[in-house]
Amino acid sequence: MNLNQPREFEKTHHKHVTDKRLDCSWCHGFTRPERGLDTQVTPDIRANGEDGPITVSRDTAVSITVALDPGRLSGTMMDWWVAADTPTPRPRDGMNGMPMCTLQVGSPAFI
Amino acid sequence: MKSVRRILWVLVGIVAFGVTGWAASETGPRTVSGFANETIDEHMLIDQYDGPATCVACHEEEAREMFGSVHYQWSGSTPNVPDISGPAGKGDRGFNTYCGTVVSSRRISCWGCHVGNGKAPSTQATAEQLNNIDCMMCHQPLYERKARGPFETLTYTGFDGVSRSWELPVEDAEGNFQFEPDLVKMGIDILTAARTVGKPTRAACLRCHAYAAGSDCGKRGDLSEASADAPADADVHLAPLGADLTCQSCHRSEDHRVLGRGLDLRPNDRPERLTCMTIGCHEDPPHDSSRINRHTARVACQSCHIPEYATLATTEMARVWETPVYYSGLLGGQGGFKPEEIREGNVLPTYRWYNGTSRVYALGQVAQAGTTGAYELGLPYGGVDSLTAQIHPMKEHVSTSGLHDATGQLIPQSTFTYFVTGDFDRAVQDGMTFAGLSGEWQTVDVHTYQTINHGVEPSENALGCGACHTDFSDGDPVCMDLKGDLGYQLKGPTAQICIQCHEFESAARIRKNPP
Repeated sequence: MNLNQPREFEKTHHKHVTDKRLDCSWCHGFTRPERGLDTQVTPDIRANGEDGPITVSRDTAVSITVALDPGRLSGTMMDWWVAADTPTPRPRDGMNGMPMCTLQVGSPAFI
Repeated sequence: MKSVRRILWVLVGIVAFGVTGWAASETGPRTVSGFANETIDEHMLIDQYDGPATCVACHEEEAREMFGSVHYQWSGSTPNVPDISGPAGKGDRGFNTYCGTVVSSRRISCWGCHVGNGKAPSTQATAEQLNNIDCMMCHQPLYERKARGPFETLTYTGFDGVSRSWELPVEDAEGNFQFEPDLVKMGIDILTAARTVGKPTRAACLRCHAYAAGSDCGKRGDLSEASADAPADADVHLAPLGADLTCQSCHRSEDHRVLGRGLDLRPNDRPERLTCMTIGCHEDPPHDSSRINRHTARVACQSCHIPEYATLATTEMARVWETPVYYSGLLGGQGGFKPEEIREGNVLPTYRWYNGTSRVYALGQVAQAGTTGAYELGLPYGGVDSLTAQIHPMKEHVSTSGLHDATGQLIPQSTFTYFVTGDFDRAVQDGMTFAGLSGEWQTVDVHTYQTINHGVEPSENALGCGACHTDFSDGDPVCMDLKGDLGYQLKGPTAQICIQCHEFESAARIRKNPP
């Protein structure tokens, strides 16, 4: 497949957008919500409810939530992984050994 | 009075549409649009014209509406230009790639199209100000005017060392002078002119808007004097043999506040965005073809339906201040210097995303250079990822300006100084004096985008698929760079994108439906 060949891009585009109804964001840096296409499964990771950097004191607990909207993959069994990259030793509260998750519409998986 | 007048206008409209196509005759003014200047009974009672006060005597409410408008103040609120706080416009903080600004010149140089009768607009709607609103500028297409005395003789030495003199109206400290009707140019007497005023015709609007930047079609590119009587294949909306619309058919006016704004303008009389759909002329979706309709959320109608601009007259693409050219028509026919204009006709637009808001330079701001190094004076906001942006056809214009080293501001060079000397350095120096600046400055390139909205051609001339999409162009060049300029490129190498769902072995070999 060479997307620069005449009609090859159009064929590929048609197959993915018209037939499979995949949203632009699968392949491009933008989305077209008005077309009602299937968007990517994108995790939403928050620390103490914030989606940006947070600063906490030494004794303050930090709660990490990871959620996702399964979209068109609702009901599909799959593995998903979370990696922690910290300048300090790895947290002790079980960041490994993630369970298998069943993705369901309306009840995104939490860790 | 207003309600009575509105009823009368309904009647006039009916009569006028009945005589569409009626052209110049020996008994009345030339008709160039669907609204002929038919007489109104009350106007026939006018027995003397004493300037705009004659109109304002009965139309004070309309004068007060007009007083607060962008057309009179040459300034206004800037809801769609987020980088400017407070009011701004041509009359105060405006600065563009064409003439620079009007504020640092004698007012006779640049205010010929202002709807004021010579006095500078103020913030207080005094009787003097209301009587300064020259209604006939918009409401009488045959109206012409000239500066009234007293005059003074001013002598300047040009860049070529030659001294030249001009007779110019005396302006007071605020720049006030006075216009009076130019009966020789009008061809009708002033009483007939006053009695036959009407709603603005295409010719009345184009008298100023076609001549922006000082020449026919010079600035806008999509409007020329010929637009008033355009052939149907050049402008289906304005053509007498097309839809025969007036300007205000789209630029809806309410209380003398007009809808619409080109991206390079600062103020809005009305904040709403003007599109082909929002004013109710075209349905959404507009086409019978669902394939075409899929484009309309992200592609402005103009992009396909105005395949080129400057079709009726050439337009200015670049202005070279370093090359003065003598024009005999400047300063009331006394002559003067203009910068060299590089002009083109039948120009293919540039296509950019535009969400209805823009960044437009205002005097006093620190100028910002774009990716090419030129300082951007008019830049559309919006991109492939904005929900409200559409791909829009645009004109680009380039020129040079003086940049003040210490402040980073563009210097409001004096157009008047240039007119009488042809010397750009002196014009900049006078601009620095006006702005209270001193010190070093340098000449920099400036650039602007301008939206192209007029000149919609018949549907059979609309761009086809291959005009934009290489897949359908049979190898011919396309008119827009979708994957580069417009953001439609893949978000990464195919090796990364395809493995989201497929097993990727090479660019030419992707396994379908991995286990």
